[in-house]
Amino acid sequence: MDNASRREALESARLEYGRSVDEGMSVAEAARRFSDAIDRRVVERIRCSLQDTCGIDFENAAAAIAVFAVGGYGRRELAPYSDIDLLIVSDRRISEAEVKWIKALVRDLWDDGMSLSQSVCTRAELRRRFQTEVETATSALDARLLFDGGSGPESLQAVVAAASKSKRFTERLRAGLSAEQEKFGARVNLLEPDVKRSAGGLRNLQLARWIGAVRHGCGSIEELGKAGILREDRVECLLAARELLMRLRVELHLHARKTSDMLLRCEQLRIAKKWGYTDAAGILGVERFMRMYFQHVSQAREIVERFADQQNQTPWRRTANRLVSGLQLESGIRLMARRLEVNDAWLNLAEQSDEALAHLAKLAAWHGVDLDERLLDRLDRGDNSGGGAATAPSKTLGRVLLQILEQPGWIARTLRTLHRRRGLARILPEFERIRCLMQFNAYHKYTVDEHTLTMLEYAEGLIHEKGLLGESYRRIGRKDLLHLAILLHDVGKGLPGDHSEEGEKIALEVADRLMLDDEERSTVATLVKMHLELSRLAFQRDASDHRLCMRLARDIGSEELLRKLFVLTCVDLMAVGPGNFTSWRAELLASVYLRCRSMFGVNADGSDDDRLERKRLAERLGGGEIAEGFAGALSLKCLRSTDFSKLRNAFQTWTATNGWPAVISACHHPETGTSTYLVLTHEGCTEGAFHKICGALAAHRLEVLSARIRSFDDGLVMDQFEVQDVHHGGEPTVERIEKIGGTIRRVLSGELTVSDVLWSGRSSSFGPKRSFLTAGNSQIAVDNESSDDCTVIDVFTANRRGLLYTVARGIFRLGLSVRFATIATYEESVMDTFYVVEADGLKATRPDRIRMIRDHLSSDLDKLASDPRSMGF
Amino acid sequence: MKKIEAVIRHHKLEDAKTALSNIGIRGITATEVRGFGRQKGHTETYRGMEYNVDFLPKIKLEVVVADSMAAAAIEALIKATRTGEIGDGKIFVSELAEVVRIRTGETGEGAI
Repeated sequence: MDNASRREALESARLEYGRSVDEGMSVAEAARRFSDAIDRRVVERIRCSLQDTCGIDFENAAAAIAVFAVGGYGRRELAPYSDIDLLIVSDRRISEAEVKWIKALVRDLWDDGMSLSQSVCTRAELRRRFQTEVETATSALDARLLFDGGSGPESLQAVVAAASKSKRFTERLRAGLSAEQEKFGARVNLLEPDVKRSAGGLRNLQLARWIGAVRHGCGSIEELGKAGILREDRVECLLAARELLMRLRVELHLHARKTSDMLLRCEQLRIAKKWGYTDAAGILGVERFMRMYFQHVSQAREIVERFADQQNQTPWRRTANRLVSGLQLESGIRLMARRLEVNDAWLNLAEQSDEALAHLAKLAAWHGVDLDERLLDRLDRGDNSGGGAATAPSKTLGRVLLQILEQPGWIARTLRTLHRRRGLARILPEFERIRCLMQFNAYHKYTVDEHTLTMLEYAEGLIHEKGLLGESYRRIGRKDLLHLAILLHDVGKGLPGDHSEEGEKIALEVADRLMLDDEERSTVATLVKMHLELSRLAFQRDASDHRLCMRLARDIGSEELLRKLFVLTCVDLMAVGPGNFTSWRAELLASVYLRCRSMFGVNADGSDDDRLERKRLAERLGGGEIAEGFAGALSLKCLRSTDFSKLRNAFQTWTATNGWPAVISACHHPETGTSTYLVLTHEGCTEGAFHKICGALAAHRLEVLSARIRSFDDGLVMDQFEVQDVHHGGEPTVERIEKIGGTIRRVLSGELTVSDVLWSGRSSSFGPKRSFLTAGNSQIAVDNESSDDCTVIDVFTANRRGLLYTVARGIFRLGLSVRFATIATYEESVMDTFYVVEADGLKATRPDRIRMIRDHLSSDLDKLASDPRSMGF
Repeated sequence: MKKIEAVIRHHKLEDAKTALSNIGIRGITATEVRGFGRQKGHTETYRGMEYNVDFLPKIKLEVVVADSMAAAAIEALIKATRTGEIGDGKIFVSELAEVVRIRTGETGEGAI
């Protein structure tokens, strides 16, 4: 037979293989038959090439050489275009004649159309390689003798068995597999998996076989079952997964007419159609097909991992685990070294009650251990409908879910374990919607549920992360709400509308069902709705535009929520796939976050140089708490542009006179055309000093662009206002400062009222002509999470004269005291942040009080918009 | 044939893509890069907090066009990405010796 005919014959054998599978033969059987056909060809070529090779002493050569089929070929699990792996072993150093023969054999097999992968070595070399190369050892575990010249080479398995006696052999096997999976996708739910090498692929099944062979001398998964080492139902799962993966491989190879193990999107569509997966209501045929695929591989992966874990335990550890009674957490629940162990009563309860299941999950997450194996088995077998309470409102379930999500460390692992067994669906049924949901875009690497759980994993990992992102995550007060928002951020995917908006609706339903309070409800829903906004602003908009940053800050409402959004956005990008969160993106996102954050008046302390400068100033002022507070409270601009003598005079007068009367100094900033007025006073002088000063400044047509307020413990108050003087351009004259200072002092002392000074001035032709504020376009956010000591009121509104005075007076009338405030004016938009406390020095936390603050301030702003004179303007 | 490389503001990518598509240009390669031109780094101040920005985030576009399309492509890019401020970026145009479409082996303008 010539080479062309041989290649044709091999091609026919491949097609026959595919046909047999299509006609219903099991792939395992079809693969065996195909391997036998290959065997016949290879053995024939070995014999022919030996005899044809000139000058070789056939008897001698054959006596020293053995040829093994290794790898998939050795296991008789060949796919149509798999490599044919041969191991040629010689008892002694290979002679020139033998090299000639091997070359002839390799050439002949290639000519036959086989893709050959051969390894030639002496028995001594082989022994050494077994010790050091996991790949060689595993391929030898699958070795099958094809040709033995007669020397009776000691069984390869025996050599491997000797090598694999090493305690670390199984660990090395797993490490080798992990390294390979890192390359091809360490997660099961890859949108485009490699059926052989991705997690849960054929390699995983081979791992079970190898461990079985090394530890128990079992040559196959079936044998592991027969020997009682692996439970029957698990063996069935593994065999079903193997059948599916091998069948897919046959499909992929025959369609590509070459080695092809990637289940690419186009192949998924083709195979789903061929295998009869049709579109159904709300789900495409290809999605149903891939769900089936993921179900099989994730089960298989978990079975193999658990099996490998068990096998890896040394006998003394197993004994120790049995002897250690663990820590009793509750009646019937014990905390063991790596697991939570529950009694039968709890097992039954967890099967029937969703709250009980959630409670056990909470304990597992809190203590960083896995759930009881028996419980997992029951979940595996059960229909997981639970008590059916998941769709009914349950405050208990809501609280327990938030507790599960509270402490970073073991959350993603616990939820992933539950999700695999549909246990999570009993606590959060909305998550089931996105199970194995495909994402048809060029960016995502994982299904929606895997992407979400990966995000959660990354978020938890930030607890030890250095830098802005880690610091932001650590500072988040209610991490449970962030984690819940992560779980829900993509649940709207696959629905007809915008997935952020659909997700918000679902998040609100979840919040109602779990009976979350108003603040929790709005936090989660806002994060879900806005989860793309920060990245949109960073990557697709001109984030140097203050108005865009302010709009985002206004929409998000509070610094704390912005921080949560920043973390959510970053982990969302990370979990798209490896390498997606580049430093380019990270830096851009961080800079936009910082800009938006600064809108809330949250300023960093500045650089180390700035801190040093402040420290020096405090020392020059004589040191002490007040001096440090004074130096620390000055804005950077004021710190840099004011003469030390001026600052010293202001400070000395302030402290010497105990803030009475108010001390005023001003400095001009020519580069911005603005001036900073420093007002030092004492709380005891008057009540509501801040709003009165605002009124006095407004009366002199000073438009406040930003303000910083600092109250010290002994009642000293320091207010700084960066203003635009619409009456006087350039540096304010001494007379102007004196005049303004005089008004402030008289207003503070009660000699004049703000109304008096406001009406004393004539309407200025230099005053702002336009008024942007209209009733109803303001937003007041009250936030108790951003600060430990104060309630934070954020006011987003349009600019107009007297605005700051109105808000400050409103806050004063509400009986709140301003501890710190920042005011920011950007053309027509204003964003003011006030850190306030109640008269008793505590935060305003009662829901009715928060509503009251919001309503009063909104009503004041509406009045200012519609009837300024009613507000004194 | 000409190869046009444009370093533009990152948020102008969509505008640039639309502008090039509108004149019939389909193949665009975009890379996230960092740039340091006349804009250099700058110090931005937001309410007392200063950010020192060294290399600025930019997008580099690469487009290959027939000689006859080069002027239109450059004009479209300028129109779409210009703000008039320092930092709008630059366009570099170079002669291209050959283009090969890997799938079909076509060469020259037919492969663009």
